[in-house]
Amino acid sequence: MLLRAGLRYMLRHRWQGLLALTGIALGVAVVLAVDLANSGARAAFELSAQQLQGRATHRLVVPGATLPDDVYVSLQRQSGAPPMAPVVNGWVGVDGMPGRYQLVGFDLFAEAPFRTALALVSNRTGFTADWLTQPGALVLSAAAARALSVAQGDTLSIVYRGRPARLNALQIETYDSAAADDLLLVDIATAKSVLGMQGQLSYVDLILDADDEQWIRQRIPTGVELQTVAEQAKGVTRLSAAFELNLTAMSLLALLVGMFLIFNAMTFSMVQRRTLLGRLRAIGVTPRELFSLILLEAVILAVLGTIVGLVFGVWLGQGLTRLVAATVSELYYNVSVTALNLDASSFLIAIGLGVLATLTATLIPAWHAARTPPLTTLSRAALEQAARRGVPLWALLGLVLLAAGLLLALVLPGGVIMSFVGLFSLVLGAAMMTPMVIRVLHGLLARAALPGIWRMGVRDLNRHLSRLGIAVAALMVALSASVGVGVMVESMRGAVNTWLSDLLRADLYVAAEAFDQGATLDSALVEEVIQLPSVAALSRYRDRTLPIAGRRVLVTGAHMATPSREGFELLSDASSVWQAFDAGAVLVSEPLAYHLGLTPGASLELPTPEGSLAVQVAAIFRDYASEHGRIFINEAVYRKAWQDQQVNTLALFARNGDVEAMRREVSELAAHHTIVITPAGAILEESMAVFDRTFRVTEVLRAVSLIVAFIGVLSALMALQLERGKEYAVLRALGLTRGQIAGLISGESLLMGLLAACVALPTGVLMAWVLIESVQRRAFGWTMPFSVDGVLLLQTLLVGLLAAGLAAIYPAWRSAHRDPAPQLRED
Amino acid sequence: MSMVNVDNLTRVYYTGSIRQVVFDALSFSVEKGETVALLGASGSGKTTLLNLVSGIDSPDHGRVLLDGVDVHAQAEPERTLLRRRQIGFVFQFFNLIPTLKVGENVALPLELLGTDDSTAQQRAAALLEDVGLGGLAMRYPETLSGGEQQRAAIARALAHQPAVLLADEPTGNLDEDTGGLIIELLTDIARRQGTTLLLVTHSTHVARAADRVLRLSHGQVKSELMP
Repeated sequence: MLLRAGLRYMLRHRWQGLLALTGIALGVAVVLAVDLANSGARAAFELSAQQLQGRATHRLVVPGATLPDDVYVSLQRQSGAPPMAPVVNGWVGVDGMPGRYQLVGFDLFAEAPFRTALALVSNRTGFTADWLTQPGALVLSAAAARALSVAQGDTLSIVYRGRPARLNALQIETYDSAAADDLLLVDIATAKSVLGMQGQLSYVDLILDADDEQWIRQRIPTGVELQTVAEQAKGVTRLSAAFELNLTAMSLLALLVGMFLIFNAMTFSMVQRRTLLGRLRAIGVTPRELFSLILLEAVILAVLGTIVGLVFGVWLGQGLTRLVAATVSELYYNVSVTALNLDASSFLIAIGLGVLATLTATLIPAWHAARTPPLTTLSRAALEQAARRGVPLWALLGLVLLAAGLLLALVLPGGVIMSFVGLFSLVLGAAMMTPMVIRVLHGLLARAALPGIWRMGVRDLNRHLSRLGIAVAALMVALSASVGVGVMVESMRGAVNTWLSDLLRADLYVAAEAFDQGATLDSALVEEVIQLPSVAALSRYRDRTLPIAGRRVLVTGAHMATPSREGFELLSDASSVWQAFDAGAVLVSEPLAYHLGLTPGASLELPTPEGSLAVQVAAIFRDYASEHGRIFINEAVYRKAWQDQQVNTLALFARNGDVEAMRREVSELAAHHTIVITPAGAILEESMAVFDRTFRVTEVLRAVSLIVAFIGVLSALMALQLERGKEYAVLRALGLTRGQIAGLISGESLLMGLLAACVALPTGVLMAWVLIESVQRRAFGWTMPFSVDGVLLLQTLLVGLLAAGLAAIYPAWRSAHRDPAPQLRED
Repeated sequence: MSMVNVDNLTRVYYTGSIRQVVFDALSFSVEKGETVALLGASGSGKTTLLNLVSGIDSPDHGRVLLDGVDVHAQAEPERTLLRRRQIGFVFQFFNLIPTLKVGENVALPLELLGTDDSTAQQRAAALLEDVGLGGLAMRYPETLSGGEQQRAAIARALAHQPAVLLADEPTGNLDEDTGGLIIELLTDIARRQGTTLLLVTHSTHVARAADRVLRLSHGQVKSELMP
């Protein structure tokens, strides 16, 4: 009966019920959507690694180089050899298509124990014969075929390091997965031919138990390493670390905004039903019964709201996932995440949030309702007084949380998880302090000689603190996230721009056409460039990726002209660094130095085909090119240790500053060599464009959290208008025009936006500080100058006002046009 | 000359398909400075009549002249301004603005008319003295008793010296003694200020305080009684 009374109340006051449901649903939806997009991106990366990994447990590799065929053949011929499958792979371009595709050559006969999906390819009658006899026979997934507009029997033109090749689509498979979308499967012989790897393999996959592992280790030659697939996968998934970190940060903030929305909605719902609850107490309902009733209703609301939120979240998640996939494809390699990765943990987090936040939000008012004497139950004034009494306590708790957050993130040692815990604590603390800030600012505003209705507006905010405080806090969290992430991105953008501008000192850069696939310059061309009269000086660079302490470190053998050396921002004592460099010491990038704890003078071992090369660290330099780390080593030392005379890039300095003359001469050479000539400005421009693309998703997520907060403010205002209908009716009777009523509501809303922005700006700047000094540092190892852009802060202030102003439009219109007569009669 | 002239007023409500005639060609007038009680049972349309007189509600037919001005011939914003200048309201449930202090509640009508802050505050303080609430100007309404809140509401209704005071069951939410004091206060101040008072009540006891009583029944003023 009691439950029926409560539910009927909600049915009769549909708007109130609907607002509570909307709050819960939105909170759940935004958390689920961001988390689904996040896990979608992660799954795309991980699946890509797993797709090729199959059931393999280990992998034979030569770090930083290819594996000679002989190693595989000799192992495989020995009796007692465990299952092994050779693989040749490389990244290729497809004519007329953006992005890169992974060409994978495998041995059909060795595949069965490893990759069931790939082995299944051979089930079609006649397939094996076609596969082995047709040159360039290609198998690709239906999704890849669609993306590339290829049908069975078509020819696909690909390019590897500037060399064209043709493949024939023998079969289009339906083993669709996110990861299969970027795979072009060919016979191992075809892959060797296309990738120029005759006699070489990329790696050999193995399925090993402990005995087999021992067996292999005893037989592999020097220079070949046996790695677990987990070690291998680490390298692949780390590729996305920076990207994923952004999404994680936004997901956490969405969680916080979601929590506040739910809290907001439930507090409103309880406050509005105080009369009903009071009457129930008066007719003999015990405090315990009332408490149980309220919680039971909250559970029903939580379940309904969560279900709606999950549906909406999946829909929103689809859009976000597509956006994430598009960015991943643009920046890394092709994935077309068309289906959502419906990760169970994402749903559990969202459901947990929906139910727990709803119940938590209900507990305090339910407790109040149950313990207060009948008829006075939750009287408006009593409730507001209780809320106001709690403000200092909340503020104190918030201050403690904020301080603890800063301590965790900036002072105490720990990893990136600890930084995020600190960040979360900081924002939560600031949100809990928001009502106190409202009260203080209200005190200041109240002293100003405002006209009657404006005084009323200012006071309303303070006197409706129990309802509006949480809505302001939700808007504050969204705005501070916007400031925090915005300042971080802007600081990083500025730092990257300065760093690149310093580094790109040369007038022109020359690289082989397929430089992004590792193509090198002809040695003849390098000699010809050196001889050009217009070239005053040049630097030569040779890149090689090496595994060092579990990281994929880019090692560059460099011959650097003086201006190139001047482009390095050294983070340690710069005296005699270059003498040490010329003598064989290395320059280590800041991220690598941070993660390996390297300082100038420390020694480091680099893997070479001839074994380890011990080098001394000459200096640490600022670098944002790779979070995995970079090392610059003297070209002469590099060439000797790796027996590699190749050059990837030349940086040219014009004689007498005549860049045009130098460009003409180098362009003439381009007639005989496939090279790309790029001025420093163009590289800078392209790099900054890539930077901006990386953070596009972050921008969208910032907008999503702002929209959600906007809806939160709208809900809060709507609920408040429902409750204050009579007050507005009285004002109308006293002679306030519709415009004045609308102005009053809009003014209050704008004040909410202003107060939210006032708290959000310092909170956001603190967040940015934590993101830069703690999260970025611990995740990537780099530091950057902290720069706060006044325009960004002003923008946030305006966005806060705009969100609050827009949220007021409907409630203001509705209240102004409501017929006051019926409400004037009500008690 | 009549201050309030209700002429041939008809108001019909529809609840679904049910048609309910509240007034049918209702006519009466109230002279300047006169105190008139509008007596009627619950549901007889007393409050609706006040809402029509003040321009909060609109009639289906007929007109209301307030000091010679046809209220419903005005556009809504003009009706609001007319109410702001000419009418004072006292409600059954006091309807003070909870977020304004008592003094500010009283000063509000003056501020709406553009009176400067200090003048408005002075006038409010004087009125609060008049109604026996001197010293309570800085309190919030919720801290006052029902009787005190209604006194504050009377002070607010009179603050801008309206031509007409409309009181809707002003004692309906008070005990008998307090109600008696409130009626005495209301009629006394109205007479002193020369304000026309239209008092809606279902209590014949309260109606006795008026100069004249109009009994409202079945949509018509059935009889005019002198107390």
